[in-house]
Amino acid sequence: MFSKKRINFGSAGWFLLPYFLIYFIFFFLPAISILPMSFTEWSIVGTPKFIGFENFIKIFNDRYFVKTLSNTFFYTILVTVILSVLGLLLAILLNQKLRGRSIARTIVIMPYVISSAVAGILWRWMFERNFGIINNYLQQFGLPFVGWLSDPNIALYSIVIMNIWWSVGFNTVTFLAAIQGIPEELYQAAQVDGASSLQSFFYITIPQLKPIILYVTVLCAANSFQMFDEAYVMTQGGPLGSTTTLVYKSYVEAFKNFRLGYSAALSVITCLIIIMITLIQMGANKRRNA
Amino acid sequence: MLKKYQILALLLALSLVFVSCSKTPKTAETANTTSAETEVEAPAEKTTIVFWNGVGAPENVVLTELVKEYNETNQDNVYVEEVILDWSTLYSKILLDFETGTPPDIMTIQQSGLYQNVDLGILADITDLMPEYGFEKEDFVESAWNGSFIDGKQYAVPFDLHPLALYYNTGLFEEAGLDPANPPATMKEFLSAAQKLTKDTNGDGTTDQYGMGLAYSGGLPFRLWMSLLWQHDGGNVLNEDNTAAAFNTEAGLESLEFLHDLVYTYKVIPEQEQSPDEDFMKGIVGMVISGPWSQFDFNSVDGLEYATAPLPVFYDQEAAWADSHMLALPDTKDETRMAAAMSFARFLSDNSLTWTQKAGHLPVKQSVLESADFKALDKAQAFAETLPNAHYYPSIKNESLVFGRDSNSPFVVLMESTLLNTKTRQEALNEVEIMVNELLSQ
Repeated sequence: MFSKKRINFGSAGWFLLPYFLIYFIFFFLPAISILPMSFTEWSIVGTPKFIGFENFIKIFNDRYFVKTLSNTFFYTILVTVILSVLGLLLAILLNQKLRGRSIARTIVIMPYVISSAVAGILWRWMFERNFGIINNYLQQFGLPFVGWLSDPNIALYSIVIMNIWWSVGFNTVTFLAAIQGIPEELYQAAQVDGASSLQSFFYITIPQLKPIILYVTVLCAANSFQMFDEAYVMTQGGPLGSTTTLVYKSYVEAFKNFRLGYSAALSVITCLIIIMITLIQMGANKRRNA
Repeated sequence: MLKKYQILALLLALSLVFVSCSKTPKTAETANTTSAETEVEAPAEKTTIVFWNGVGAPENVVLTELVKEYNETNQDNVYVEEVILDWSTLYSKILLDFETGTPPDIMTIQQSGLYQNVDLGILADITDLMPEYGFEKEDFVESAWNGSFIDGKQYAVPFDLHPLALYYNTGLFEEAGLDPANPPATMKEFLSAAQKLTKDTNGDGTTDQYGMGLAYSGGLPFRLWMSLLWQHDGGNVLNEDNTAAAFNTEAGLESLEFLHDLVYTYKVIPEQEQSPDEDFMKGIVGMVISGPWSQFDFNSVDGLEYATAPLPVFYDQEAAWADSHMLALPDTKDETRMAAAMSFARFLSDNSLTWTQKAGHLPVKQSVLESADFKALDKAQAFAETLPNAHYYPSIKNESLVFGRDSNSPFVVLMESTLLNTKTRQEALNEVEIMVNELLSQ
């Protein structure tokens, strides 16, 4: 039995090898090379010129940097909170013995099957101000048109709505699997002790789900901090920069403006912030457990 | 000893790495049946060249057809492999591929993108090659020919021109009591037509048909604003040597106020409009100002009857923004392939009427412009009339920064601030003047 276990581990390693090789060459190496690149001025053509911290100084003097940063944080917080709470609620709902439960589960996960770019295009049409389906319904109820993607005060919320529709299914399924892993005995024991279902939820479900909640929120925060596809497809960072995120700005700087050093410096800042957020989340979790 | 599956996994890993590292000039090609058809195996004795078609959907299919025709009929012993891209991919990919030593032999380029690519040393100087392949100055529209020169050297073969003009829906014109044979030519006529076209067709108290369509974002609004600026006597975007902004003037302000008023005072343009071309095709707007490229989509709509007219003269003189598609040769230093590329450019140039007939863009050759076949294209005439008064962007090194179409690009900020009414016109001009001067000083 032991020897069998060893072989299994070995074969897993071998099958993981292709992934790690590709990961190393195409993700890890380029990601690391961002750091030296961030200290240079480089337009792809020619040799990079070392300029020290000039890119970072320029970023902090950039008239749009603070706005970009606050857009990114605002979006991240909103998406992470809504996606985690809504995902959990949906998971609990779909865990009940309801009629049509499996159909409902399928429907919830379905949007996640399509790519975010496709989802973005779909929603761009639905959000269209003059002939979009959403404004069309609003008009039929006698409500005024909303500039879902064209009003600088609303556009970011519209992207949040689209993102929730698109990815809440993933969190729901994750939570659902975790909920089903909670031993039934705990609930039975609580029932014997006369606990209400609300008490069961707060004293059994939530504590049992702690590691999963951490996993979901860390993942959500890191992913939404890197939001790009949605902005690229739906708003191109507009209107008036209201949906420009750090990653979108890095993209524009690198591949539209050909300022690779500047873009690399932006990526370094993005990376540092994500590491910080993750550490804070992990730290908070540890303290709660202690 | 390695087990079978271990060897399998290792092989898979290695093959993946090699496949991804190997030179694949066609990686960006879209899985498109038309382009697949052109990829017949080339006979060994032919010179195979790579052509980047970056004009973007939907017109790119017309170029693809021309490539196919060339491959089937040419006597130059050349086979053209086509790679279909869009402009933004083309401009970033050319940097990468030039740097790694795998540029295409010939590619489409916009006149506005020429300076930047010449400055980066990507494009070959073809001044001496041009006459060898029968390209003579006299055959070309002057502005297009001159546009292919940077610092006295020629870097591209002009292929087409696309100035702005007015599109109008003839059916809606008649309904509004306007004469489709007499499109608006002055500001007064334009305003009156736009106001007549703006109406509440179903009587619910809200306007559902507008005089004109104008997106609040992207390139078109600022191209229109620049056209209005150029229509002023002495109106200019940049100073004479293109080193500083020159648009923060009475003329610049007046043009900007006018566009703002069309939306918020006369209310003949829908607020926060996103897709004027779609609105025009749906009959939500009666007029739209755009380049000849819009015809391709407009012609695909059954029952949409429209006509074109030169951009009305809103101020002192005729003027309209234009850009030009050109064919440029990245500097491969390979004479055989450069010769093959020039032969192919010659073929495209000779067949530019097909490009006009199917994709709408204006030809730049005098012989084609004067031909009966061209004169038979009603909708192209308005654009042709605009030619003598067509203005390119000022030619500058960092064109993609100054005239960029991204959310933070200066002129996009100017138009969004104006058309979304978030700042006064003067504030917007002041802000963007600083931005442009910063970029020009870099």
